[in-house]
Amino acid sequence: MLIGRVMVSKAKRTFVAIVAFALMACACVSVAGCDGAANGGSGTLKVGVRSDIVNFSLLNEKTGKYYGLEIDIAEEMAKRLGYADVEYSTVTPDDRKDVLLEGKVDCLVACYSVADSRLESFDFSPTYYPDDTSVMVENSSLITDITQLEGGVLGIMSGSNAGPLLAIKLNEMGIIGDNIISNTDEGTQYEGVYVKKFASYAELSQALEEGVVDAAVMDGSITDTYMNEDRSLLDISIADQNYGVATQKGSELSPRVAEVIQGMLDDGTIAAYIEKWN
Amino acid sequence: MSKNLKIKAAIIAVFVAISVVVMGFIVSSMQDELSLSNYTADIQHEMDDLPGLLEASAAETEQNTQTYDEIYQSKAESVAFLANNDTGYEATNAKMQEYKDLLGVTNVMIVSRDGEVIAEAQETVANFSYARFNQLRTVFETGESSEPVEVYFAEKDAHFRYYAARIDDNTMVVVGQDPQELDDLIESTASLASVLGNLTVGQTGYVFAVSTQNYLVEYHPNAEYVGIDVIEAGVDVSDLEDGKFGWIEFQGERLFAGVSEIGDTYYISAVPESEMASSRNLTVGVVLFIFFSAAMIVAVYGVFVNREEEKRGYNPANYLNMGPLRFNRSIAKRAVVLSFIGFLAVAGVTFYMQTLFSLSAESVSSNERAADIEETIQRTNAQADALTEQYDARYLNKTQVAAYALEHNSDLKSREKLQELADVLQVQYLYVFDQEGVMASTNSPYTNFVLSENPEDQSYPFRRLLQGVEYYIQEPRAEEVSGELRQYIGVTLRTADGQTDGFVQASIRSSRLEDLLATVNIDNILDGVKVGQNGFAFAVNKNDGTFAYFPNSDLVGRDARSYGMTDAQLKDSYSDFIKVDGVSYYATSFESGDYYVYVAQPESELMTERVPLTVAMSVSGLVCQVIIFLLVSFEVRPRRPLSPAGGGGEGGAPVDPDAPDPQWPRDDDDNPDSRMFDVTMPDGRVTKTESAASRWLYRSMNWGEKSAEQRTLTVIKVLLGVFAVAVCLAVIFKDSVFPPDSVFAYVLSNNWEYGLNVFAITAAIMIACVVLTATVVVKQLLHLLSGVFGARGETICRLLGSFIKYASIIGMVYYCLLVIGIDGTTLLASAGILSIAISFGAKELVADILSGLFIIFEGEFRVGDIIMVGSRRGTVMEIGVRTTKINDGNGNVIIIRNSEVSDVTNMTKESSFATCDMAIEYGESLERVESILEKEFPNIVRRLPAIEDGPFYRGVVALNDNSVVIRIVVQCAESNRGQVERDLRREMKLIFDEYEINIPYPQVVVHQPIVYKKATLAEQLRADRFNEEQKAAGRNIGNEDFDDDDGRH
Repeated sequence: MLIGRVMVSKAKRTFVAIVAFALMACACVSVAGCDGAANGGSGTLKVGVRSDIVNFSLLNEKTGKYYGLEIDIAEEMAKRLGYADVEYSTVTPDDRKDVLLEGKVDCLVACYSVADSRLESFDFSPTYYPDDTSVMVENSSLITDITQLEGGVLGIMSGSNAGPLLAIKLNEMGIIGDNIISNTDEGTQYEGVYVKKFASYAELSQALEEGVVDAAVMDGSITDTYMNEDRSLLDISIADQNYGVATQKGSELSPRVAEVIQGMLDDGTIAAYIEKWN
Repeated sequence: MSKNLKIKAAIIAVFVAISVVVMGFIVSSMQDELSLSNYTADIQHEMDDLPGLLEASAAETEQNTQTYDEIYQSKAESVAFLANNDTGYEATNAKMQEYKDLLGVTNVMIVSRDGEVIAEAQETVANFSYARFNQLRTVFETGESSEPVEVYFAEKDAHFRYYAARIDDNTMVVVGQDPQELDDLIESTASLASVLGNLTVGQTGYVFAVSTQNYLVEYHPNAEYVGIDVIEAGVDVSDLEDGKFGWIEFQGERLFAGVSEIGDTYYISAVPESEMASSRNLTVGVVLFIFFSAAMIVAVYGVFVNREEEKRGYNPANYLNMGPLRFNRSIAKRAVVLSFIGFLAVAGVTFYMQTLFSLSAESVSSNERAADIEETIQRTNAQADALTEQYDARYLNKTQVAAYALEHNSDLKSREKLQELADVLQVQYLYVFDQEGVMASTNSPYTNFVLSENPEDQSYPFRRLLQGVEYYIQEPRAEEVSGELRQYIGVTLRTADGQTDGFVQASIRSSRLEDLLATVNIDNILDGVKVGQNGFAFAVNKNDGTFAYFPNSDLVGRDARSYGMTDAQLKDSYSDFIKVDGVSYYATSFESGDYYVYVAQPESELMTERVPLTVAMSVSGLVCQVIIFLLVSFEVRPRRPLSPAGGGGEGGAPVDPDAPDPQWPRDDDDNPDSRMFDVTMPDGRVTKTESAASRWLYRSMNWGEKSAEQRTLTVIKVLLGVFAVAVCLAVIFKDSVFPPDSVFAYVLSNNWEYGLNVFAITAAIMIACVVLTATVVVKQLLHLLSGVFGARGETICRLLGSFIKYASIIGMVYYCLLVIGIDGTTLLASAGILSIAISFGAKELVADILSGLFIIFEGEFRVGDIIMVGSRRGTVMEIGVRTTKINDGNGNVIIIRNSEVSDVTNMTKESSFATCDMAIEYGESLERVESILEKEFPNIVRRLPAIEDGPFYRGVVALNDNSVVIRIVVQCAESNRGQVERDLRREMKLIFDEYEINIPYPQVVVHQPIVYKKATLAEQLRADRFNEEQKAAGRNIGNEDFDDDDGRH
C-alpha cells in the first residue's frame, strides 16, 4: 500500500510494514467524508500555511501577515488560477490534514511533503521545493556520525514523518533492529534507539540543548531556524522531502493547481522565488 | 499694453518659468548625482571596512572567550590539583562549597565518569550522563582540562558554562559558571551594536543589520527598530542583495543604501534622503532664487521699457533693423549689463553656496567624528581600567588558591610542586617568602632574594604582608631589562592557628593586558581613523606643540608650528582651515588629556563638488540669460497699418515701418504733479529721478508714475525683500524648519572660528537680513502709529524711525565686524585714541567724511539734484568722501566740503516757477490791468516756449509807498528758470508800454521860489497865549514825557 515508492529490500519488508503502520497511527488520518465539494470559484482562495518556518512561511504577529517562499508561491498561484484574493490560515503538522479534509482550506502550501501515505487522501501538485530530512546534534556530544546514535535518544516533532523515515533509514543501515518495542504518544522505542516526540520544534530544540535528546531529526527547511554555532548537522540524508501543494482528493482544483505549479516551475518563477528567499 | 507686447511678455515669462524649472532640474539632479556618488563612495568604503571590523570583533570575541575559558579551566585544574596533593580534599558537598568560595565560581561538582554527581556545592540542573556532556568526559582520555560546554536551561532560565578537570580515572571535577561576565564583555566589545554603532555614513547615515533568515532587524541605531520586520517596514526583498546600491524605503523614510551580505546578515549602510534633501534643497533653492531674480530683472526691465516706448511712441533712433526683426538699442544697452551682472551673481552664489555647504557638512561631520573619537578615548580608558581591575581580581584569586594549597600542604613548597602549581594556575613564577622576608622557595631561576628595605624598591611594599595584611596587588610595571609588563601579587600564608607565616607571591606576565593597555595610547586610537575618503585624525601635544600622532610618521615628534600650524590653531574646539606641511585641511579640534586632537580633511576633497556644479550652473545660467536678453531686445518689425490716404484696401501704399511715429516725441509729462522726471547726469546721460519732496513721503508712488528703471528697481527691491524675509523667517524658526545638523543650524551655532570665512559672511548676511526685516517692520508699525497720533505722533515716529535706523545699522555693522574677526570694541577704543590725534590734525577731514556718510545715509540729495547750499545753487555732480561738487550752471564747479554742506535747499522737482513782480501806479485802474493780462497771457505762452504752464496771475503782493505790486508766475523747468524770468519781465514791460500802463518810478519836480510873510506882534502875542492855554488844558492828556525829551522839565 503506502510503501509503494519507498525502495526497500525484501528482507526489510516486515519492518517497513510496521513502520508504515506507525506512520499511519501517528499521522491520525481522519477519513471523514467531505469529498471535494468544489468551492474554488468564490473569488478567494483559502490557503493553509505554516506560521513558523523562516523563509518558507513566517507569520509576523505584529501585522498578522505571512512572509516567505510559500506565501509568494501561493500568491502567484492564486493569481494564475484567477482568484481575486488569498486568505491564509495557519496550520500545524498536527492539524493540517484535518483542516484540508474538512474543507476549511482549499489547499495546503505548508512545507507538506509528497508521500505515498498522503497521496491516499490528497492530490499533490508537482514538487515546488525539494528538501530532505536532517539530523542535528550538539557539538559537545562529540557525535559526528549517525552510527554513534546507536542506543541514544532521538527527537522528532510529533506528526512529522521525519521519525518513521529516520527509522527506515537507521534500519537500512543496520543501526536498529526490525522490531518496535513500544510506541506511545511520548515516543517510540525501537531496537537500538528511542525516538522521542515533541509537540513543537522549539521544545525539540530545547531538549537538544539540555541533552535530553542526543539528536534532533527535522526537515531541512526547519533546521535554519534552530541552527547555531554549537550545533551541527550530521552528514546524512535520511529521505527526500518533496514539498507540493496539497488539494482534496479528486477536487476540481487539483488539476488546475498542478498545471499552474508546473507552469511556474517551467517559466522559472519558482526558481526565482527560491533564489529570492534563499 | 498692446497685443504684441502682451505676447512678448508672455513668451518671456514662459521662458523664464521654463528655464527656472530646467535649471532646478539640472542643479538638483547634478547635486543629487554628486552627493550620491559621494555617498556611494562613502558606503563602499564602509562596506569594504566592514568585513575587517567584523573579523576583528569576531577575533576579539574569540580572544575574550579563550581568556575567559583559560581562567575557569585553570580553576577546575586547581581543584584537581588540590584533590591530588593532600590538601584536605574530600568529595563532600561542604568541601565543594569551600572550593566554590575559594575560586569564586557558581558551582563545583565532583562527577563520575558515567555522569553521576558525587558531590556538589549546590544542586545542579544538568544531567551529566547525557551525551551532550561527552565533551567534559574527554578529560579522562587527554588528562587535560576540557573545552567548555555551555547549556541553557529553559525551565530555570539559567545559563551554565561547564569546565572539567580530571581527578582520577573515574572522577572529574566540574566547575559550573554563569557566563554573564563573558556575555557582557562580548556584548560591549564585539556585539553588532558595538561594531556598527561606531560607523557613520555621510553625516547622519548609519549601518544597520538585518537577518537574512527572518528579515528581522538585528541592529539599528534607533533601538525601537530592533526586532521589526524590514519587509513590513517597507523594504523590498529584492533590494536585499549583496553589493546592491539604491533607494530603499524603511519605516516611511527613504534611504540611499548599500547592502553587503556577510554570513547570515545583511549590513545596510544607509543615508537618509532627508540629509541629501536638506543640503540639496537649500542650495538649489538659493541658487535658483538668484537665477530667477537675475532672469526676472532682465525680462521685467525689457518689458517695462517696451511698454514705456509704446506709450511714448516709436523712435527709430533706438532701433537697429535686422531682417524681419529689430533690435532695441536702448533696452539692449542696459539689459546686457543686467544680464551680465545676473550671470556673475548666479556663478558667485552657486560657488558660495557650494562652499558653504561642503564646509558646513564637513564641519558637522568632523565635529561628530571628533566627538566619536573623544568618546572612544574615554571608553577605552574606562575599559582599560575595568580590565585592569578584572585581571587584578583574577590573578589575586590564583595567588589565593596557591596560598590555600600551600597552607594545607607545606610539602608543596618544593621547586617541582611549585612548578606544577604554577602550571595549573597559569602563572609564570611562584615565590614563597618566609616570615623574615627571605625567599624560601620558588620555581623561578632566581632563588636568592630578600625583600628590599628601601621604600623606593619594587619589592618593599610586600613587606606589609609580613605584618598580617591579607594580600597586596602591585601595579603592573615594565621590567627593567626586557621592558615587558610584569605584575606581582602577594597573599599572606597563615598557619592553622591563624598566625602569619610568610607569603606566597605570583609573578604574572600578561601579554593580553599589555595589549589592552597599549590600545589606550593616542596613536593607537587615532591610527585607522578615517574621515570621508582621505580625512584622518592627528594629535598635537599640548605642552610642547609637537605632533603626538600624524599619519605621516615623519612628522611625529616634530614641532607643529614649524610645519605650518599657528599658535591660534593649537587650542580646544578649533574649527577652520589649517595648513600642515603645505597641505590645506579643514580641521576640527578637541582636547583630550595631554593632547589636542584634530580631525582633518583635505581641502581639495571638499571642493571636488563645487567646481563642476558651479561651471554647469554658470553655463546654463548664461545660456538662459542670453536667450532672455535676445527675447527682450529683439522684436518683430510690425506691419504698419495701411495709410488712410490709400483709400484702404490692399491698393494703399504701406507706410514706411521705420518712419517715426507721428506723435513722437509724445509728451508724457502731462501730469505736472508727477514725482518722476528727467535729470541730466554730469556725463550728459539723462536719467529719471524722484522729486526731492516726494523722497520723504511715506507714500509709494503710483506704479504708473514710475519709469521703467524705477519699476525694475522696485522689482529688485521686492525680490531682495522676499529674500530677506525668507532668511529672517528661517533664522527665527530654524528649529522647526531645519534639522539640527543643517547648515543653517551650524552657522547659527557659532561653532566656527570668527574671521573672514564663508560662515562668518553667511552669518553677517543672515543677521543683516534679520535686522533689516525687523527695522522695516518696526518702521511700518511706527508709520501706522503716526497716523493715529496726528502731527505730534508723526514727529515722534519720524524721530524714532530715524533712531531705529541708525541703531540697527550701527549694531549690525558692529556685529558683522565682530563676526569677521574685527573686534568692534577694540576698534572703538582705538578710535578714541585716534580721535585725540585727529582733533589736533585732521579733525575737519573726519568731520567731512562723517558728513559725507550722513548725506548719503539720510539721502539729503543725490547726484543730478539741483540744490542750494547757502547762496550757491547748482546741480550735484558728485558726492565724494570729503567734498561735494556742484555745477552752478555756468560751467563753474563749486566744491564744497561736506562738513560745510548745511542749510541745503533741495530744489529737485519736476518744474520750478519763474516769478515776475510788476509795480503799477496807484492811479492806474487794477481792473483795467487785469483784463489786459487776461488778453495777453496766451500771447506770452506763444512767444515763450520754455513756459510749461501758466502764466498765472497771483494778485497783489504789496501796496508800496509809490506802487501797487502784482505778481505773475509761470511754470518752467528749474534749469530754465533764470531765463524765463528775464523773458517774462521783458514781455510784461512790453505789454505795459503797449497799453500805457505806468510803472511808477522816482520823478524830480522843480518849484519856483516864493517870498514868505512875517508875523505881526499881535499875532505873536496871541500865539503865546494860545500856547499857554493849550498846555494847561491838555495837562493830563497824552504823554508829556515822550513828547518832550529834550531834558527840560
